[in-house]
Amino acid sequence: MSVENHPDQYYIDGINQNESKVIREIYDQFSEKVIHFICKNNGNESQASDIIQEVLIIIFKQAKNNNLTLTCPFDAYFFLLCKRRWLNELKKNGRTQVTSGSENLSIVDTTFEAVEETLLLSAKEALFQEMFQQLSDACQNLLKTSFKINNMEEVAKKLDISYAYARKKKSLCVGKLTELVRSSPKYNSLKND
Amino acid sequence: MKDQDYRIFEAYITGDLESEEMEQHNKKLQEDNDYRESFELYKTLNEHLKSEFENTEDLEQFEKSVSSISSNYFERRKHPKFAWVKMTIAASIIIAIGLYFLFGEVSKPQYQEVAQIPTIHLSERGANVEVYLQAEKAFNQRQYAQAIELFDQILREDNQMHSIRLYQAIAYMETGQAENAKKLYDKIIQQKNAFSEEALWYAALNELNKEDYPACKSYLKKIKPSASRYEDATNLLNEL
Repeated sequence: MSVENHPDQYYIDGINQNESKVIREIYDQFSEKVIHFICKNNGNESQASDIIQEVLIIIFKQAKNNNLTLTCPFDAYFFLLCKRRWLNELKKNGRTQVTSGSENLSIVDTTFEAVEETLLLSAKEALFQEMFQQLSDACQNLLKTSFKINNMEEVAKKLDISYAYARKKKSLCVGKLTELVRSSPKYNSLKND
Repeated sequence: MKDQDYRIFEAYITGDLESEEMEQHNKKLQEDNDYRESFELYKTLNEHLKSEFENTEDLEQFEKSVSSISSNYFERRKHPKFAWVKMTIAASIIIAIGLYFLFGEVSKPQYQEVAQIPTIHLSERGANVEVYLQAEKAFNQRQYAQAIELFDQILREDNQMHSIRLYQAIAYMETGQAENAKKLYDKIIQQKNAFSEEALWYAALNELNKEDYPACKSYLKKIKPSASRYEDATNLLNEL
């Protein structure tokens, strides 16, 4: 069943296109609630600023990499994402939430689902990057070059290796990354979420 | 998984799998859970790496926009009277226009007053990290002639680095090589990439430096209201 785009998809598209006007609108209209929540929950303005920037980058990446389609109001989606990121931050530092604050918005199930999905994808991508860093320098370099140039003949030429070796090596490097991710306990817990 | 399995996965993705191998691959997908799971993850990782490295420059540009909008927003929150400052600036512009009609032309804004050369941060992307570091250092220390040469080296390796092309154009502009700067700006603008709006702003400054005011205005007018430079462009247009 196809789900219709929410009118607030405008914000996602604006983030995707790096439109300053839309980003400014998001700050002007939606960030005050987030700042208020974080300041009421063991945080300060500077931490609120970091969380808002982190969440905007998560949305940007999801829009670029996964064609993020909004099915709920942006206001609730954005607030809930910031809230979850902040509560994770508190948990990481062994601090607990004090007050729930202004979350009695009309947050419905679709918003929760959308936020869960965004956070899950973001956690997976962070894990992929973490595992990528564990590959050998040669593998990292070959993969970076392969995906940036997107033409294996040119890649081989640039790295001064044969075309056949470049292709074989690429498959082995992505294969190695596959094994690293699969054997990570974090991946198994994310997979079951 | 064996090396051969990954070769098959890769060939499947690039559409190079022979029909016999395809048959075996499909059979294994149905019968072997481990094989299927590895294949699905291999495909996901392939997609992930593709987006990650294709969008590096866009992401850097986005982070820059967000950081600048965030600073402005939190600065305004701290100083709610900021609006009055803006009104004062607006009022001085109106007075300047009034003076223009009363006493003739007031002095035009100067390039040195308007141009703010950014500090750059180049994350390494190519094989030669050292060149990126040297180029970043030379540019930030205003040793533009040296920066131009280093940017050339980077662009020879990868001529799709729009950010490097923009910084090289700025370096040309700062060393008085206006025509070289203009060629690069125009190239970035035509390509309509993530740096095109920024290139329009610096191309306008390049013309301002030459005191070619009509050309300067023409670039400024092309900056869209959605661009982060729109406000700067509007202010400069008013002053011109």
